[in-house]
Amino acid sequence: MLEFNNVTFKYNGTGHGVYDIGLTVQRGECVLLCGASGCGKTTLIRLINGLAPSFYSGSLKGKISIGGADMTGLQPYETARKVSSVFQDPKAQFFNTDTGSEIVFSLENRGFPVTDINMRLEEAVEKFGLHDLLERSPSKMSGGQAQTVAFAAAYTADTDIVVLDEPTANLDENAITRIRGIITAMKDSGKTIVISEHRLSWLNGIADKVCYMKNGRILETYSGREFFAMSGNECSGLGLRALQPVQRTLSPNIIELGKNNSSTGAFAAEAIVMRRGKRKWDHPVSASFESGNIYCITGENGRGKTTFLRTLAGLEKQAAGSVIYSGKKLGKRARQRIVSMVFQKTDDQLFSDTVLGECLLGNGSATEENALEILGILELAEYRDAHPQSLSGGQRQRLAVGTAILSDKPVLLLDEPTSGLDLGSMTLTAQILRKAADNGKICIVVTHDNELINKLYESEDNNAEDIHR
Amino acid sequence: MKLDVRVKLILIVLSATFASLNTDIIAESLMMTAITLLLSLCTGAVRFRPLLMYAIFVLVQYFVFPVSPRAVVFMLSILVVNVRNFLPTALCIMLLYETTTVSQLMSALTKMHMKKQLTVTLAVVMRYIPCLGEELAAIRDALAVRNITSGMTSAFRRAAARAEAFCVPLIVSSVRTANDLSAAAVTRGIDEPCIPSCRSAGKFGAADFAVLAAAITAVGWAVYMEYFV
Amino acid sequence: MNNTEKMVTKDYIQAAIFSVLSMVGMIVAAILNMSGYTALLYPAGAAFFIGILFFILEVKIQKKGAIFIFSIVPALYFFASGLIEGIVGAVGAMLFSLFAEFILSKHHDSTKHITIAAVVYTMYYSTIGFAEQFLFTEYYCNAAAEHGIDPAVVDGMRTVFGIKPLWAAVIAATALTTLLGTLIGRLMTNKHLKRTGLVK
Repeated sequence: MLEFNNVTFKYNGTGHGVYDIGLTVQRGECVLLCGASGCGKTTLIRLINGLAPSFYSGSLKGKISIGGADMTGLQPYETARKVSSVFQDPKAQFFNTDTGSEIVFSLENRGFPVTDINMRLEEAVEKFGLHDLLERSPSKMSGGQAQTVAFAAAYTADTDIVVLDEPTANLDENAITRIRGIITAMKDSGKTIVISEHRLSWLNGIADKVCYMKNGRILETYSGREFFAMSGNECSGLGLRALQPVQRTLSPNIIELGKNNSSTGAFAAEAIVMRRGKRKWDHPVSASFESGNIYCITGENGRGKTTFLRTLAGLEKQAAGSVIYSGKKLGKRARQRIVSMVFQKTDDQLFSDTVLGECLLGNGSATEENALEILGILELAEYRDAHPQSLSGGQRQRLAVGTAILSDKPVLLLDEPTSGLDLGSMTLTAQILRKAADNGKICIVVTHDNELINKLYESEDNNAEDIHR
Repeated sequence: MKLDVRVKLILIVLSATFASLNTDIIAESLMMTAITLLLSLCTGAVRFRPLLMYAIFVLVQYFVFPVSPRAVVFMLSILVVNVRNFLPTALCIMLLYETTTVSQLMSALTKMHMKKQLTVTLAVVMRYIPCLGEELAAIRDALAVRNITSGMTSAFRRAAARAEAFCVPLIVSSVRTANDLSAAAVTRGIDEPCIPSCRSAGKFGAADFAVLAAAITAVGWAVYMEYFV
Repeated sequence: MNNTEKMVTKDYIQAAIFSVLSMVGMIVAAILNMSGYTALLYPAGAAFFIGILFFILEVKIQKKGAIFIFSIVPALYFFASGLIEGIVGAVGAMLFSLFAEFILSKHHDSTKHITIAAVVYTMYYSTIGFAEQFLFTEYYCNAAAEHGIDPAVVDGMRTVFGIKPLWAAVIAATALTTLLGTLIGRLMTNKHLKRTGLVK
C-alpha cells in the first residue's frame, strides 16, 4: 500500500530531515513511528500526506509510492485523495466553524454530489456518535470531542491511508479510550494507518509494526507484539515512554478537586466556587498547599482543573470563597503578584529575543548564573542566544517552566507541562520541579501524565521497573 | 429562523445605504428595532442589549447634550452621532457573523461565482476572528502573571516593552495559525481545481424574500425622503 | 531574492489573517475619532499600525497579490459603511493597494520599495479618506448636521476643513507615521521574526 524506497528529505534552511528511509506498509496495517522529539517522525508523516516538500520545502530523493503509484511531483490535493490526516492540536486543524461541515470538507472540496455528501455525513455522525456536536463550533468543545470530529473527517474522506501526528497529545484517558476504539474500527474497515506518537501504551494490540527512529533514520523495526513485550528498562533506554498503562503512585499531594480537602496551608483555596465566562460550578472546592511541596491536580477533562489553576493565579474571579496566602485573603491582583504560571500553550508566554533574555525578563532577582544553571538542567544551555520561538515545541515548554522557576514568586502553577513531551523532556521537567520545591516554592501541577506524577514522587528507593509496572 | 447568507450580505449593504440617506431618528429607531428583532429570531435568543445601547446613544444625543456644558458636547458629539448612526449596520454584521458558518459563507460566495482564492480568504477572515480573541486573552493572561517591566525606570521603556511583549507573540502566533490552517486545508484538498460542492445557499425562502422586501422598502422610503421631499 | 511564483493557499491565508490584524489596528486608532479635536489624526494613527503589518507581511510573502488581499478587510468595512462613500471607500482602498503592488513588482525584497509602497498604501486614508471633507465641505457639513451632529461642531468642521493646507498636513503626518510603522516592522522582523525561522 505504502512504500518508501531509499527516501532522503532535507528541509531548506535547517538541513534537518530524514535519511535513507526504507519502509513498506501493507494494506490494512497499522504502523507506529516512535522516538525522541526531533527524530523525524513528523517529517515522515509530512512526506506521506504530501505536506513535504510542497508545503514544507526541502530536497527530496528516492521514491514514495502509494498503491503502486509514484507520489513524486503530485500536488497536495492529489495526495489528499489518497491520504487523510489528523494532527496534534484538534482545534487548530478545524477549517470550518461547525462540526458537520468539517466532517465533509474533503468531499466538498472534491466536488462530490450534495446527496452523496449528506449521506456520508449521516453515516459518520451515527458511527462516531456526534449528534450533539453537529452545530457546535470547535472552540466550544473539549479536546477529546474535537479530536473525535477530526477522526470522523478523516474517515469520511474515504482515503486508503490515514496518518495521525501525535493525536492524543492533549487528551485524557477517557478520550484516548474512545480514540483507540475509532482506530480499531478504521483498521477493521481496511484502512492503512500510520501513527506518530509519544504516548505508546494505548497502541498495544493495535500497532502491527513499530519503527523506532533516531536522528532521522529508522534504526529498528519491530512487530507490534515484540515491541510491546519490551521491559520498562529497555524502553526507557531507547528514550521512550511506558509501553504499559502506568499506575499512579499514591501520595497525599495528589489532589482530586471536589474531594474533601482542607484549607489550612500557607497557600490555600477555601470553599472556592469557580466561575469562567457564563459557566459556574456547583460545588465549592478547597485545597491546601505548603512550601517546599509539589502538588498534582488530577481528574478528567472538563472538571475544572484549569479553571481552578486560573482562579489561584488571579486570572478568574471566583463566585464565592477565598484564596488565602500567609493568613491573608487575596484579590485577583494580589494573587497575580505571588504566582507565576506556565500555560499549556507556550507561544503566548515567550516574549524575549533570546533564551537567556527570556529567563531574566521580569525575574528581577535572578542573575545570569542562576539562569544558566537552570538552562543547564533543562538541556537548553547551548541555545542561550537562540530566539525562544525558534526552539522546538518541547524545548519551548521546558523554557517556559525554567523561566517561571527563576521568578522569585513563591507559588508556581503549571497546566499540563508535559503534554506531548518525550521521556527525556518529561524527566527534565520533573527534575526541575523537584529542585524548585527543594528551594521552597509551592508547585501546583495540573496533569494527567501518570509517568510525570510518578517521577515527581519517586523516592530514591524505587527503580524504573516498579514505576513501569 | 434561517436566512440565506446572500440575504444577510445584502442586508448589510442596504442598512448602510439607509443609514447614509436617512436623517429621521424615528425611522432609524424603527430600523434598529426591526434588526434587533431579526437578530433575536435568527439566533433563537432575546437580544435586547444592542437596542439598549442604541437607546442610550439616542437619549444622550437628544436629552443629555442639550443640557451639557458646551465643551463636553464639542468633544463627544461626533462620537455619539457616528456610533449611533453605525449601530444598525453593525448589528447586521453581527447577524452575519453569529448565524453563518464558514462553510455557508463559502457556499454563498461560490454561488456568486467568486474565485476560490477570494472565498478562502474571506472564509479565513471569519474563521480567524474567534482565534484572535483567544490569542489576545492568552497574551494578556501571560503578561498578568509576569512582571516584564520590573527593573525598568523610564515610562517610555516600560510602554515600549509592553507593546513589544504584546505584538511579538501575536504576530508569531498569527503566522503559526496561518500555517496550521493552511496545512489542515491543503490536506483536505482545498486546492482541488474543481468547483466545490455547495451544501447550503440553495433557493431563497419566504423569510428571505420578506426580509429583502422590507429592507428594500425602507431604503426606497429613505431615497424618496432625501431626494423627492 | 525576487519571488516570481504565484501566491498559494498558505499565502492567501496569511494575508487574510494580517488583514484582520490591520482592522484591529484601525479600531485601536479609531479612539482618535472619538473627539472632534483629534479626528484629523486618525489616518496617521491607523497608518502606524498598518505600516508595521504591511512591512512584515510583504517580507514574509514577497509575491504579487499579498497587499491586495491585505486590503480586503478594510475595503469590506468601508463598503459596509455607507452608500456612495462606501463604494468609493472600498474601491479606493483596493486601488491604493494596487498602486502599492505596482511599486513592489520585481522589488518584493527591497526595504526601500516596501517602505514607499506602504506610504502609498496608507495615503488612501489621508486622501480619499478625507476627500469628501476637504473637497465637498459644504455638502459634508450639511449631511453631518442633518444626521444630528451639534451645530457648533459642524461650524468647527466647516472652519477646519476650509483650511486646505491642513489636508496637506494630514497627508504628511500619515506618511510620517507610516514610515515609523515600517521602521518598527523592520526592527521586529530583524530582532524577532527572522530569528524564529518563520520569516526568511
